[in-house]
Amino acid sequence: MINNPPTSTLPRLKPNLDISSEYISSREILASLPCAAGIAFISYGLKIGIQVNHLDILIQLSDYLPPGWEHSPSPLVDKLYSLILAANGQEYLLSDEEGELARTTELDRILLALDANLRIYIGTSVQDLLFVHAGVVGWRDLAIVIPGRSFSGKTTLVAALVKAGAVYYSDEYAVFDSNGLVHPYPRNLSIRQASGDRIKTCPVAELGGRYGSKPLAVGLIVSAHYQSGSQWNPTWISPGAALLALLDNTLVARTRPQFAMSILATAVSDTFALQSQRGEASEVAVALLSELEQLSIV
Amino acid sequence: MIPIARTQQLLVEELGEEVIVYDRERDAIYCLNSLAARVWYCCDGQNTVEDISKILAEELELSVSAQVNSLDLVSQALQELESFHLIAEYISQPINQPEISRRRMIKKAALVSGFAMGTLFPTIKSIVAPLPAMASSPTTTTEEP
Repeated sequence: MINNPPTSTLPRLKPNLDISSEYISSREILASLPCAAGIAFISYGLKIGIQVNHLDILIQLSDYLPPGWEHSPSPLVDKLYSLILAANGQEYLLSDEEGELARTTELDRILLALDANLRIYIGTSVQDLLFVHAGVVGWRDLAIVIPGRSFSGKTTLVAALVKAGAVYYSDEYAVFDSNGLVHPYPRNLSIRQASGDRIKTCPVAELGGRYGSKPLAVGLIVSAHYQSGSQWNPTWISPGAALLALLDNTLVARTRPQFAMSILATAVSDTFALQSQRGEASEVAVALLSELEQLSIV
Repeated sequence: MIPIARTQQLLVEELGEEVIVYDRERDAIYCLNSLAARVWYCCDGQNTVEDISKILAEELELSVSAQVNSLDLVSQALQELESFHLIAEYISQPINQPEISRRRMIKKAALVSGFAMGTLFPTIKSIVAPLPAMASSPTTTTEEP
């Protein structure tokens, strides 16, 4: 559930902040911002701050914050971003303590960049949960996990599964706990438009679905890459191959490999996994739900 | 000839009959199927290639006339293991090992015994461990001036 920003606690906006995107480093930008507006929130136990210098940014910010965020009562944060409209009024800049992260003339694009950076920060910084880039739905109290890189068709398949009756958990992260159970990361679905680079966010209710809430054991892991014209011709893969497919999409695979391998081994130890190229998502969705139903009966 | 498995800079996770290995030197991740894992665990500095072949032949119940030759399987497995830098070296004389290591090896053998016919050939799958940005949606939004 996305909360509304606690506007009553924000500092006063300083509308004529003189920041030139060409000459001022990000550190100077951050230092110059304490009187601008901002928000401090908690997500997965991390305290994150975002400073802005324009009301339009603040108004739209809440749509791009992580699912389940809560306002932080303290201004002290673990991570600080600044998102500013440059003095020329034409460019938006996103920065953190390390430097500039993105720059664009469009507000929605800079907010998407913030969203993506927040996801990576959370996915690599939370210590007791493992974040795997994957789509997740629930079906008969088991999770179907679809690991895959961007543009592999995860969101389309997740949307098709939801339309077919599955419970929505995520189109971005499978969040595993130490027992190998999958938790929801219930942000709105991010559906790419025909051109590929534009994204439309879609609440799951628009698909006739609902958000899952309780942690689920993994019932099926699906390695399915979209290929136009492909037939769904799945083959079973071993638990080890399934674990590799998950690790290949794990944010901390390189930095915390033992942690990742241990959790994923638990998650896949009593599950099934299959792989195939896929064509139309709607047909595959029905096949997957049928497959999991049969497996859970067995 | 006595093969010795590499143990340095490796993280190992057992998963049923398979073994997942993380190579910290290369940031590579390997999935050894049951046969590759069995041969790897036998590379303890005590067994010659012929010894490992005999162990496999017994466990796989291969007859002398079987089409699949256990020595060929071991050679194939060792080649695979070498190509993924999982063999440290070959020696001519067995190394002295504390008994505890031998017991551990036997325990490992029990863990990965019981081959299915589908895993009769040694295979190792591998990936390069992804960087965080690779395992996430795109982040960069910077326009050219």
